[in-house]
Amino acid sequence: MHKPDTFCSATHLILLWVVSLIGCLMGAEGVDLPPSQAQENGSVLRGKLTYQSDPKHPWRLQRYFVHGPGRHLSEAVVELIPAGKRAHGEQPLRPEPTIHLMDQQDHLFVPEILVLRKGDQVRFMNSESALHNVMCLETQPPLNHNLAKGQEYLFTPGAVNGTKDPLEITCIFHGAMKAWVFVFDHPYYQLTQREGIFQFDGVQPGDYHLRIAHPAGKLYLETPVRRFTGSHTDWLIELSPAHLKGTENSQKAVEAQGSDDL
Amino acid sequence: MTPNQRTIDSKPIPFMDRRAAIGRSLQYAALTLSMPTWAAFENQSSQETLVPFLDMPRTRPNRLDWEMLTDWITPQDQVFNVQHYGMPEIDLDAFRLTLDGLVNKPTVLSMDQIRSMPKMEQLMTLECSGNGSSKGFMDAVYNSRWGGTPLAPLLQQCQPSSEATEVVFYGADTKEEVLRPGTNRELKIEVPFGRSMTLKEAMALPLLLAYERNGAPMEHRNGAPLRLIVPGYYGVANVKWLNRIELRDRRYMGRYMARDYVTVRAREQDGEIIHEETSVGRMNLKSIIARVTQRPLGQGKVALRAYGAAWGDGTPIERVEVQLNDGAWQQARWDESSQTSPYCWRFFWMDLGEVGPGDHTLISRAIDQKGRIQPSAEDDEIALKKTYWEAYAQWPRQIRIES
Repeated sequence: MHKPDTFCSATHLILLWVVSLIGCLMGAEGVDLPPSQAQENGSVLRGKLTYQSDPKHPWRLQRYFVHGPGRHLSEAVVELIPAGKRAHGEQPLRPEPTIHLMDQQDHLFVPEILVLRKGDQVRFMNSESALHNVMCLETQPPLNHNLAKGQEYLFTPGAVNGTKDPLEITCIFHGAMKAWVFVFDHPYYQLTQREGIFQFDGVQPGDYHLRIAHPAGKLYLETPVRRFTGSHTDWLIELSPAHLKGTENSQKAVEAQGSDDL
Repeated sequence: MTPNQRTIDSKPIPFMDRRAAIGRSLQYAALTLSMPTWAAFENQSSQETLVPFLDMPRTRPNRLDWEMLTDWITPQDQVFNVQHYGMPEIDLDAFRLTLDGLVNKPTVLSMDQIRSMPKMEQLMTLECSGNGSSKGFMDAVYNSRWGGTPLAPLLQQCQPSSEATEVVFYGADTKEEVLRPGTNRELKIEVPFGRSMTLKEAMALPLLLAYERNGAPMEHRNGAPLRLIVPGYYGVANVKWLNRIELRDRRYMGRYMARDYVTVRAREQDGEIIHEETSVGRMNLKSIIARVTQRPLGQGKVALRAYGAAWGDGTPIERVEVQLNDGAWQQARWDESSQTSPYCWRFFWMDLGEVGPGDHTLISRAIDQKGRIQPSAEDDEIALKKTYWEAYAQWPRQIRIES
């Protein structure tokens, strides 16, 4: 028996609508790609760090690092590493080693945090009249170099210490001067700015660990990223005095909270 | 730069550019910060918000946090340390204090023996003599309750000989010094850190052999196990890691008495400029505005209040005055909630009234009971000083009130 024309037309219309919908969605930002395409291109893993202070344990210097009503945390180092012994997948061609600058001004290291790849170098400088020094007892051999005004010193960090164990730089004459150098052997690391945002592109599906360190606040958190499937994830991670380095909370999982605020 | 590598200098992705731009424009418009309740003076209103100084670098750990000043006794995490010969490693069990030289009874004491001696406490504000020499070095000062045993009775027990005129204090920190470097008379000598004073001064001042700070064992970086406390003298005189006291019949001319920590001042005499060199010793009269707060009055106006501290060599401070922009000097009020003690700072505060939008300058000056006035940078006392030690000039503070 011959099918009614209306049925064929309705089916065709529905199919046409579905195809059109797919087409519209693919043209919009943030679409979830089919897994096969996600694997090929990698996906975005993005989040924002905030800080919640404890009135009983005030972080006196937080006014430099916690911003706005959203309490965004700046100058935090975020690292994404694959879980288990799995290494990061094929990485883009590494650029030429870079020389990062660290000056000494107003009895401060400027900047106080450097994040760099293995092979990069640090050029220490002194722009003020006071005699300063750059010292680090964790390197082999130990770094200990005086810098008068206008002098420079080129330093190549040897070991890859990642987020867990940055090199702490100080001045032998002015012990309050502190800076930290984080060295990585992969490109999945970031230093947050005032908005507290971190973002990793090209992340393949799988299990990961997210390591977060705020050396000035002595904060550290390691949290699993389980079964990252390649979908667009917006993460809101709140640090607090509970995440002081060395405490048991430094290793606890943090529940990912979706956020439209990114 | 790889897609996955972003440094602090990288540009944000497009949709954040707009939001980041708005945020940054608001940063300069909102230069006030809420004051945490724990950092408030007793007479501070909850409506007051902090007005950050325009040109000051961030405070570091182990430095006094002026903008959050509230404790008359400085917490340990805001206590500075400066050392010139590094921090020596000390075997506490083997540590000894030796008193020798021109004494009839040389003595060697262990820490247990020192702790068994009569104990007293000395309240004192200790300041590095370079404090105030630059805006990056404004926070090397702190107030403490030192615990230990007084030195004078111990010196008496050692029976100084009649020839003894000088007392030299040595620390365990040592270094090879090079005298007359690069000349054919170059001389290399291994010396300990040392400072000295006359025996008469040492017996008259309330010197303390300290091993505690604020009731807790002193930290190594502050001179543990034993530190000389010299009330009214700059920090360099308070020898850390003290391990020897020597009495002698001639002046001690070590580096940190005669070559460094020497203030050079020029003055005019009979139409000529002459230069005087003096060893850094007694603290100078000084005050500073610690922080400025505001509370809204409506119609774009705010009321400002300044808080600060004043200190010196133990001479009582008569008053502190504060000036706003080019206005008249006004007398500040003492903070009655904090203690007073001869060798310690005093906190003050001052209501400055209505202030409109714009940039403003505030400055304080202290006047002591001897009539001395803390000088400005333009006064000859400071302008003709050729070295940076003893930096006690008035320090202007710059703030901005937004409309």
